[in-house]
Amino acid sequence: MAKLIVKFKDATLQEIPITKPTITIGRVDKNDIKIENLAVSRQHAKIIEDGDRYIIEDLNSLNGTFVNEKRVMKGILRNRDEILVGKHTLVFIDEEEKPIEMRKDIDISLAERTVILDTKRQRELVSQPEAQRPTIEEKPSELEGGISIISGGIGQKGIKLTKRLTIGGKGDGADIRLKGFFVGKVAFIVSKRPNGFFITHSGGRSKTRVNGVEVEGQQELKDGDIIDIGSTRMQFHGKK
Amino acid sequence: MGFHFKIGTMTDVGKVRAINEDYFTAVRDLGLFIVADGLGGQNAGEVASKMAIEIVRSHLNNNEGPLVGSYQEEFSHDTNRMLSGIRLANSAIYEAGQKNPEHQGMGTTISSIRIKGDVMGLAHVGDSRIYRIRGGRLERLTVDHSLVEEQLKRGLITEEQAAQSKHRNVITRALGVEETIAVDGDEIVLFDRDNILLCTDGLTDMVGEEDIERIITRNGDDPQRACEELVNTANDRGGVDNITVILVHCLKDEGRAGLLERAFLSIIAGLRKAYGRIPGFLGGEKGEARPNSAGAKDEEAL
Repeated sequence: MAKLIVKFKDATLQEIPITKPTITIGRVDKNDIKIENLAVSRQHAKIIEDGDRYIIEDLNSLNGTFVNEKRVMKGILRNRDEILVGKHTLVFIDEEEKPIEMRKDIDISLAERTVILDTKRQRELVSQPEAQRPTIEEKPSELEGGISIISGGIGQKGIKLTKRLTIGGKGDGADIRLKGFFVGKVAFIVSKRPNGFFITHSGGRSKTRVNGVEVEGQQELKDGDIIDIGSTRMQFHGKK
Repeated sequence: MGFHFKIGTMTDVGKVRAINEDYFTAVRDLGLFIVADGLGGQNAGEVASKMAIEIVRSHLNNNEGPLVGSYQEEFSHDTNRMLSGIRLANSAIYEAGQKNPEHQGMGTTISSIRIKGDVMGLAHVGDSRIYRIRGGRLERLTVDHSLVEEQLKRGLITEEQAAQSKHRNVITRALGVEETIAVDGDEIVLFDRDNILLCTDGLTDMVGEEDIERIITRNGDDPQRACEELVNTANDRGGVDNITVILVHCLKDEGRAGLLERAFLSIIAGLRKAYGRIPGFLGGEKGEARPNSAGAKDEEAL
């Protein structure tokens, strides 16, 4: 059975067998492993059983989760990995761990036709060489952004930019509802891309302005930018 | 406001294959454009690509029916419906393959876009691609579900090795192969004069991206001529696979409201010009007096 050894500096504090499919780590009581230290977020990380392996996932903790000194968002745990949470170290022990299959030499005859790989074969072909740490996700930490309504509008206070495209306008489908005779049904659109938030003026005679300048084409939004359209004034907040 | 389209389409068997297993559809009224590249023995690939497109199209035509798979909050309803249609097509092709021995193992790629208003939803599985050409510059909007792309992403091979790889034709996802499918989706904002290209690998294996960019840019506002030139170029270079291209040239609508406003404002401007010398008339000289309509007031307030 896999287990975690909780250490602080050189002292071993606790040995915890992994008996549940998900183990949560954090500062508050409801976690399976509670670490009372301000460097630890309330919900810091979790360990998930996935078939015959275990996966560590950072839960957007403030100070991050490190495996063998490398920051991870999500990664497969290997026997004797050292997980750093705040100032505490959790040593992951899994004696039964199966060795990772070495990457096989690819041997698909060169058919001129397209070939579909089944899932098992795919895993073999793209599995990492032994030396490399298998991270299963390269996904960068999620962008966060929002728009608050400073004045005007129809009573909305603000909106989180969770959608790929957020629409501001007079139409029923708009996420941010605006007023004004010349404001378009779809007046502006904010795109959430991996590298930031971008605003585009879409329609209506009322132009969208950012910090007083009319938006032309697609323009990146910066934290604190003021967006004006018609009689509505808004502010963008965001962090990468 | 939205877009109207100039559309070019072309499909060709190529120089090597006996049959064309690609399929496509262009539904102007729905702003729906799809290409699919079928695979599997006998004529099964042909069946799969056609099934996929017909199912997605009818699923989008009926906007009320239930959705297949989980609703993704980050996308609009329309994009969710398109993703749902592709999942439905996957199940249908998978089942047909299971039931029918000669269709066993058939599958298809699919790349689909839906344009509504200023927004374009994208969905794709496999290695058929979607590009945007804006201001003469080509940008790929999809990531192939192919072995080479997967190896690249994991740093197992370099770009150069990828280009040389003999596994370029190995794809890691296709419709109809497994019971469920992960469909990639996206949404972007379109601009006036954007060109959107959907194509199967019969084009991209033969014609490099610089050449694609050049051919489309050169043919400016004639997407049909661009499509013909793309297909001819692929064939001139060997045409080893079926080639299918759809090119959508997007032109922004003025909109009726826009025209009315414009007319109204130009009358005002004309009056201003004619009577501008009379103090107080429509903002002439003094500039304080305003027309008495609420709308115009708003306009001034901007």
